[in-house]
Amino acid sequence: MKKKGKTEDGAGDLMARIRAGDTAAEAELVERFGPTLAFLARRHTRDAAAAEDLYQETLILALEKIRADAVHDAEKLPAFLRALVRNLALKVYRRHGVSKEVPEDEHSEPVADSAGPLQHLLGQERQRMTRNVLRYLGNERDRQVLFRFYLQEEPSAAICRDLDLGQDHFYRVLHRARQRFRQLWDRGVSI
Amino acid sequence: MIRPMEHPTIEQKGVLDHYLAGQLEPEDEAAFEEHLFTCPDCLRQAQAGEELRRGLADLRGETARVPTAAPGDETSGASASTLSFPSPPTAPARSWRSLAVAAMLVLAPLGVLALRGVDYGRQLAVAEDQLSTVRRSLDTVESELETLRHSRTRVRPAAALRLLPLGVSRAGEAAAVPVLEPPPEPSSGGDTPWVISLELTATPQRPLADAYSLRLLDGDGGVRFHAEGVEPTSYDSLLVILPQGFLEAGDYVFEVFAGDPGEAVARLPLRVGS
Ligand SMILES: [Zn+2]
Repeated sequence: MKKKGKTEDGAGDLMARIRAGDTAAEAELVERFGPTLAFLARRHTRDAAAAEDLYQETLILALEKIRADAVHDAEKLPAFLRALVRNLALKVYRRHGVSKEVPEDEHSEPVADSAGPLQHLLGQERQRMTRNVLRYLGNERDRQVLFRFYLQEEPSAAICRDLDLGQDHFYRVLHRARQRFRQLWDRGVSI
Repeated sequence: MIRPMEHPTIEQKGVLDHYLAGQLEPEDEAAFEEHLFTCPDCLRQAQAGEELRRGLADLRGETARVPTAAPGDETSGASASTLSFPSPPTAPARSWRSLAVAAMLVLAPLGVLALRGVDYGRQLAVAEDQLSTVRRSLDTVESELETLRHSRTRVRPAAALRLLPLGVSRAGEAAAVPVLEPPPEPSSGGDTPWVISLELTATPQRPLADAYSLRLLDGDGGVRFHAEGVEPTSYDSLLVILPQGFLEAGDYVFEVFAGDPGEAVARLPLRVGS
């Protein structure tokens, strides 16, 4: 679906305009690359508030570097942005120190982190959607696939062997679970 | 190494699933993340997949993955494990904010669907008229529900909706019978319906059923309302809308059955004030 050179579409021009001090071009860059940066920030942080901070910090630094002509090749812009968000994420972890998360009681409500009540509410909503997905899968074996692969990060072959599953079935379970979650997520609700 | 890291290959080889599971080679992970900058479809799938993964982690009491340093990263040397760090209290990500508002939009239609299960034509017509009022009030419902869920005491009606959660308290203490109070003046809010949330308690031993049936019995054991095939909401509750004036003052009980017909799972008393 995507061809090589896709990033090039106008990105070189965008970078040149940013270097020339065009603030509209900065907004365009945020619009175009911001959603993926936000996702990567989310992927590397514990909660939405930390992700938002990391996202902002990355954008500020990215724009500074582009303005300062530290990136030239439009084709390499995604790689540059990706490296930036990861490096900043690692720095933030170091700055704050690292600590092992103490697992909560499985049946207790989620901890709201240092974030506010809305974060807490959203965490609950995510849990409810996830429970809906687990109900939707219908059997314990399929549920095990999700937990063991996505969370325990066990190799797919080991899970298939253990649960006596074919690879096709294994990927179908993951696909169905993701599609169901996405459906709920897009609607913002699970029924 | 997976090459070319392009959309068809990504789909064929289950790249997204291996990415979510943290099982891509560093080069493949980098290539896939770069692909996300140019492919809205993969990005959307990755976002939903990551939230699902987090949802699973929430249920297991775990937290975020930590980036592993790729070769050449100036910060290489960090190890991948389950870590956390404190975050300052700031505004949440936009996508979740809109989700919070959208999350409640299902409440009213569900309740009306439940009401469709019985032959109360007049009440149904009234309820459907009231639906527009309900829709306008959904923002209020959201915060009300959360508050009520934690307090589990007698309800202060929301601005335009009368909302009542029925269920057993988590701590197991005997709660007072919830009361539906009519509005102080019939002209002020007499037309607004009750939204009743029948709260289900899922446990690992007894997960939620896909659908429930309900009966509302009056003090003489007469069935005043029944509905089948009611699916639990994402809040693990069954929602019912009852028009004001549908029930006279007195004691009632909601009976909840898993399946149709099914095992009785709850008897939830309710009192309508005079
Ligand atoms: Zn793609």
